[in-house]
Amino acid sequence: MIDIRLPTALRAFADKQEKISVDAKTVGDALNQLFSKHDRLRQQLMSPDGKLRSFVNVYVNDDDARDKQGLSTPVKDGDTILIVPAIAGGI
Amino acid sequence: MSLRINRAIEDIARETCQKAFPEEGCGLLIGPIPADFDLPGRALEIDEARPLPNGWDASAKTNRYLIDPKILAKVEAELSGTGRGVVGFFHSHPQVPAWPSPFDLTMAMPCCSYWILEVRDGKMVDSRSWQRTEDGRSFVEEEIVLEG
Repeated sequence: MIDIRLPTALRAFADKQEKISVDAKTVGDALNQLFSKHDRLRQQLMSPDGKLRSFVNVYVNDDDARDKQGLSTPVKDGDTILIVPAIAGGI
Repeated sequence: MSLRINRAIEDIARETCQKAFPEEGCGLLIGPIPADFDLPGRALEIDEARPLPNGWDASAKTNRYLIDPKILAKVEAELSGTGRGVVGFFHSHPQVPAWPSPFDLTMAMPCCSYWILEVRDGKMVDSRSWQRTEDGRSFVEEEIVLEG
């Protein structure tokens, strides 16, 4: 199983769970399984054209998925997918 | 809808942002995660403000801030299972009112408080706190309750 860990800001959209386990072969597959259970998360994390929103970072263990194969990055049993918002702003 | 802080937390945020001037200062707001965190009327009680370095590129730190996602992930892991979490963020607007910018809105997460401190010539003159609506289209101002 793959563990997906959610930041505090997003747990309210997943029945307050910190960690959700899914069975998946890629990051995209894992996220789709997550969204099938918690549709409000999809709206927060994905743009209407199906891409990750700019403020969303996805790590597989310690590696940024954008530096690998993005949503196609393979995952295996025991991996952890970490969703971390990019907190930024300014004038 | 409110953000409850005490004097010590206000001091930390103010000093962080005044020290960062003319650049933007920033940090995390930590506290118990309320059961109604995702609802517009929720009240947050902050028990810790944790200043962090502004991770934005040096050329634009006077009008941008960035919190390193790896630091945020580490803090979230530290708080895991405690019932506390990163429930908000503070940052400063040097020489500009404490109203969220379009860029603030683009980058904002739901539920959390975004506490903005207006710093003029190195001194904090105002602060306001905001919560992004779930649809991401706007911010709503929340009351800051200062205790102690």
